Amino acid sequence: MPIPEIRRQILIFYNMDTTKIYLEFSKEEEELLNSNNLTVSDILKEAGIEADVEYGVIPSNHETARTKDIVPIIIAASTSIVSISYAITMILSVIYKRPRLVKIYENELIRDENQAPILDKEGNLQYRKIEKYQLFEGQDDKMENFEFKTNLKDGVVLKITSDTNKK
Amino acid sequence: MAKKAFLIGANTFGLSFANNDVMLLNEALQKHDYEIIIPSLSKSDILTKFDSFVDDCKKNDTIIFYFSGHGFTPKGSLQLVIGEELTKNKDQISIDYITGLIEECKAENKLIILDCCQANAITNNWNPSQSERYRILTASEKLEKGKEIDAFKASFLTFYIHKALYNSETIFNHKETISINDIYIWLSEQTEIFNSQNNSIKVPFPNLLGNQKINFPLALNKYTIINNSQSDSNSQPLTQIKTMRYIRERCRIYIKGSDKFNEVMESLISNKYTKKELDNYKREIISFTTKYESHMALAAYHEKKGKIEMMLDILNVNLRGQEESSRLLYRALVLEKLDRIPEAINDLYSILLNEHNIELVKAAQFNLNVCYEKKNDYAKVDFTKFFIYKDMFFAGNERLSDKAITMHLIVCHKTNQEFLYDLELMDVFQFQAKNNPIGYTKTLLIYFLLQRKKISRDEIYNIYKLTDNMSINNKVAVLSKLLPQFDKETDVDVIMKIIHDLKDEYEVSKSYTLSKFIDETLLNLKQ
Repeated sequence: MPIPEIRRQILIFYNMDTTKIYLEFSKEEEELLNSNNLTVSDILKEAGIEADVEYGVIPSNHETARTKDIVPIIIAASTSIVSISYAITMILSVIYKRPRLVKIYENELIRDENQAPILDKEGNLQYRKIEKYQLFEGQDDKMENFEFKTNLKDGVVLKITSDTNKK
Repeated sequence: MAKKAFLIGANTFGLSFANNDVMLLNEALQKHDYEIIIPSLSKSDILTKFDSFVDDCKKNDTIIFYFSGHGFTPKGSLQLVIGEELTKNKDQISIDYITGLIEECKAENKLIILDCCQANAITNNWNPSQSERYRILTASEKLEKGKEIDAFKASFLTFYIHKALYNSETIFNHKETISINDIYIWLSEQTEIFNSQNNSIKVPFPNLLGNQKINFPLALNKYTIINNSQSDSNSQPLTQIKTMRYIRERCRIYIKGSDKFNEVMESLISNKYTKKELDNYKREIISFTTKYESHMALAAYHEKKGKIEMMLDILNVNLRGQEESSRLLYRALVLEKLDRIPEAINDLYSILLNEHNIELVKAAQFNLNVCYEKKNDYAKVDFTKFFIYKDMFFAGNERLSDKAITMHLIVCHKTNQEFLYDLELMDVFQFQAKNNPIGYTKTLLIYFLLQRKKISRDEIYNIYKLTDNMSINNKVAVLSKLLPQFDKETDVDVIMKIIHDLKDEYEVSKSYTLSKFIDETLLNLKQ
């Protein structure tokens, strides 16, 4: 299925810090991307967003089990998170008309009383997730209405789903 | 007929136990005589060795390809991750390459095991013919996430595959060969148990792809068979095991209600019904008005119809007091039959914690012993403490003490202890011969199959005398096992005396079964 025409944005990030945006799709979204032979790089390219895409795992909290899935990680300027969320949800909504819920999990370092980061047994940094939501209903939404107030210094997880009941 | 396995484990992106997974599977497969190849984690080494692995396969070989690590699906195609630079090809292997080569190789039985995420995405380009003996076992459905568990120091799927193969003699103790379907069913059960016991970690159910009718063996339970044959050249391991299972499965429940309810339940549980009667019970069950009676009777009806899952659903009902204990007891019995021992033990402990009725408590304690016996946890098994309960009955005419003595006989056999309760056993024989001919026959069979010592001519004759009051069918069933215990050379006079008695009985009954048995025995003697 061809990618529809969407509002193209070219964002130029001079002198801006970059951040890692971990993208986590629900099963349905992932199936949608796979069946349309789409990757996140394709979407970003189509939306005119300049960002590198790597693969990795979502920073885990202290857990007693690890999943074996790999997610795309967008390396982008901190301020581009809104554009990226917008572009992805826009494309998915056009391909498969449904409202989409974007959840943002900010990864905040867990620190002790002296503000030193807490490590697990294997020396990994420990994060706590701070959860925020934004419902994105389709083509009529405008990017200006689609905003998160985020603190991105430790990376952010974007979870995109069409299951809007969890809001 | 070589068995070969190619094992890869890649600890990438924070995984800790993929190497352990390979070691575990290596250990389990070597126990079953597999030749193992474990390449280093460079793409060139993996592909070179895999090419040779496939090229060297011969007709009749069984081959396994195994991968533990991350899986990902850019554009829908499953890639096995062997390094951390996923924008480069060197750190990933396309599963399509693996499946393609395996499809072309000469081996008869082919299995791929994928302990990674999104493993079912393999099906995108995998379409073997229906007749091909080619299966794929995955840790999860498409888009689900396989897991490694800290407590296991391994991935969930691999941990249990290792357990199934390494402990195959105990887990699949009634089977000579362990097939891929056996392992899959067992893995699914373990997943269900794990998920029901863990609130924080849930694991996906494994998936077995390919033609379900193609069920090839992965391993043999050779050690069980060798041990039995070494210890007693005349023993019949399979018959013996079946007999043990039969004992376990009978009459260990305490269910009481109205007279009509008791009558129906006793018939159902003791298997005293014809097919037509079984259908009629459905009508009677509908007439039961209390929640307890209707659920319990319907569960028993479905059990007899072989619909065990439906039966368990019906037993998932909340009752109170003794009715709740009876429900838990019945459910524990079914779970134990299905080898879901931890769940059964859970139910039984609930009874012990909440119930005061002595019969229910004893039944729960007894079943708990049976569960631990089945787990081969003999330190927790003591059936001798139930020997005194001669006045306590379960469904049918089964005395608790009789069942306990028989179970103790089995435990002694399995743990190589001496059985010190011959007097008690004779009491069991005497009681059962009068009141429970079917139980008598079973106990007798177990006695002969499990006791290694030679039974004297007088003992055999005494047991024969106990069959006086039995029906002809039961008598013939017992004698068919009893008479071979005599020595054909020295005990021919006793055998002829028994034949003479049987002929007298035939003159009265004109039973075809009896006459056939007499003819066969005489023919056997002449030979």
